[in-house]
Amino acid sequence: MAAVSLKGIRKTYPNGLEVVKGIDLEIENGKLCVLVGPSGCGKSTLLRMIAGLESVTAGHIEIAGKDVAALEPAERDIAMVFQNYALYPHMSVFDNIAYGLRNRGTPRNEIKARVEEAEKLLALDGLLQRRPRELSGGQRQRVAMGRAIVRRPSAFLFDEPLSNLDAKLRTQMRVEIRTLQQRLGVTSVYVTHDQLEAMTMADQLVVMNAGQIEQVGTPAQVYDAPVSQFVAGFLGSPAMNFLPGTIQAAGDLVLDAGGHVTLTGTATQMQGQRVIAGVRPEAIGIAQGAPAFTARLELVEELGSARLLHLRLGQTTLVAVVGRETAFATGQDLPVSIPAASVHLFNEKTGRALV
Amino acid sequence: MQAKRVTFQRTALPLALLAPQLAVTGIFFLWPAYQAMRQSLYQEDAFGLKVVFSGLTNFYDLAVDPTYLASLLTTLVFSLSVAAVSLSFGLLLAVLADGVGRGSKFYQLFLVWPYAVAPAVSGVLWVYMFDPSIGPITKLLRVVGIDWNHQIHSGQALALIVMASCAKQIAYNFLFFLAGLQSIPKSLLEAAALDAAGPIRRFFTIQFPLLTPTSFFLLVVNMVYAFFETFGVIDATTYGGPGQSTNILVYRVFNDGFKNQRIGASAAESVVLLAIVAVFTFIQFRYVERKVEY
Ligand SMILES: Nc1ncnc2c1ncn2[C@@H]1O[C@H](COP(=O)(O)OP(=O)(O)OP(=O)(O)O)[C@@H](O)[C@H]1O
Ligand SMILES: [Mg+2]
Repeated sequence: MAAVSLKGIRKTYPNGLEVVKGIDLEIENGKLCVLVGPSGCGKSTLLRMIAGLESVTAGHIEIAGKDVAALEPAERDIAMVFQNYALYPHMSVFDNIAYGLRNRGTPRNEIKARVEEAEKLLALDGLLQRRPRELSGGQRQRVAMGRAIVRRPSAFLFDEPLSNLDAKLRTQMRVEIRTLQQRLGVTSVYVTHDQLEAMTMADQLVVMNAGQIEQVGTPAQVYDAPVSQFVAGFLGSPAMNFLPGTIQAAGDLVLDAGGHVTLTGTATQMQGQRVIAGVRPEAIGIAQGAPAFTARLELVEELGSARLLHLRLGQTTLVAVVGRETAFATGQDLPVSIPAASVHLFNEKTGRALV
Repeated sequence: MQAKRVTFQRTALPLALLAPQLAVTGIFFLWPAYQAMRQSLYQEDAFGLKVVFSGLTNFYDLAVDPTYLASLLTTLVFSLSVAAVSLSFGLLLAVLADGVGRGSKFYQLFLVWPYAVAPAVSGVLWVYMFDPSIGPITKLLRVVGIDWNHQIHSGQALALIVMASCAKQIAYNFLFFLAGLQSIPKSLLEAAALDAAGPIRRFFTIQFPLLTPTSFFLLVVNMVYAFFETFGVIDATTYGGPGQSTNILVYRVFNDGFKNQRIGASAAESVVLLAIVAVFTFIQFRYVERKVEY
């Protein structure tokens, strides 16, 4: 049974803007589902509808098998972590965490026990009497988590909980949240626009675009087999290279920018078709096998673990990730090879993947 | 030489720009204040023929004058009532307008109007509405069995000046409370809603505590207003009567100085008022500057 189930969810704001355009989604018990997409695609709106903070224009939401349409946010058995943490500034950490329990009439000693449990779980030792303003960003984040977990809800909702933290802390908190979520086994919906966060944390990855779901799957499935140019370009950093071209003779893709890529499989039957070839930067080879074309090296970015090569082919630029064994000088012309198996083909007009 | 010129240039312009303000402060505040302090140390006979230095006699006379002490008590009761009534109503209206959301601009405009009405004008309106013989509200009150005549009943007179003084302050408090409420991040209230706090509990546990700095600031402002700026209201409604029942300090200064020609006593009363405003200002600066961080 799905822990959270969305059927035909739509949202039109009073100003007439339809920002969620029919979402169907089933989230399994205990799984972490990440909603990812560009800014303004309706992720927060969808999450807030699940929480009951925003009205639903059409569709049904079920949480733990119950239709929540008629339920107040507090009755939905969910807890939410906000982007700005939304800690009560005038209350101590203890009171922040205990607030929801007190409002629900939980006995005093039970509250104490649960807050102390959260204190241990979240490494908040010695911080319970402080005010939020006396905490670091990461600590505030943990308090917000604590406020969510003491309630023991059947689902957690996260709205970009890490976006206010610096890069290093973000990586650390990402791991902490994921570990905690797995330990507690609570179904979670996690909104982010950071593709790395999405890839690393998700059991179930949902890519959204303009109020609709583009693709649902495990991170590996979505990364390996993107259904559209949008998904392909959104996941992965550096982003996938896109090269328009025409399939000429069987399996010979002639790129508009110059050069040939050899294709295999069903693509060999698509003679004469206009396509966009997507190639991930790490799939591109330099001076290996039969080169598809030669390209001018314009810039080398040192990553420490690898190098990014910015190559120019005619009017287009593409990015390749290479190891550090060979040194390259800018201005060089390099033979570039593209393995047939690594090419994703997309319909030039619709952007849909061609299998 | 050059350094000197530079320094001079630096102070000249700011001084020139400040000059009008300094002049206004000097002419309308510092000079009268100085005069009041000086005159509070002298006594004059009723014909203004002789002026004698009398030290602190004027202040001593005030301290033992039962009517002055009664007036002080009246002022305290009056200003606390004005503050309490206008703060509660301002807050109530702000909470309602905050809940309305969209139409709040309309309410804002509507509620701010009283603030633009001169105290004397609004005083005249109140006098008319509560006029013992022809006032429409008086007639209404008679229907429910209340005999209203603030020219006879001192309690009613006090109630009248409290009401007349509050009208303006409610508008002012409303604006500040509304701004305060709207500066509370929405997500805090949403988090509280998820934490099972209903609207009333949210108000008392989240909004009201977060408004504390605003409330304190407004309390001081309202007290200062009731102490010092209600002259116009009283002069348009009760003239300090019946008897001494609404003769608050600021009205008394005027009465003693201009009507009774007791210049020395009036000056001493002004100095006491000055001291009180100084205390309020000190409290204001000392405690109100603290801000809440979200
Ligand atoms: N209360 C509102 N009234 C009208 N339009 C709104 C409202 N809230 C959001 N929108 C609009 O709805 C769209 C989706 O907003 P939403 O906050 O869901 O985006 P998001 O995917 O969470 O983006 P981000 O990554 O920037 O947080 C945006 O175009 C936004 O301007
Ligand atoms: Mg958002």
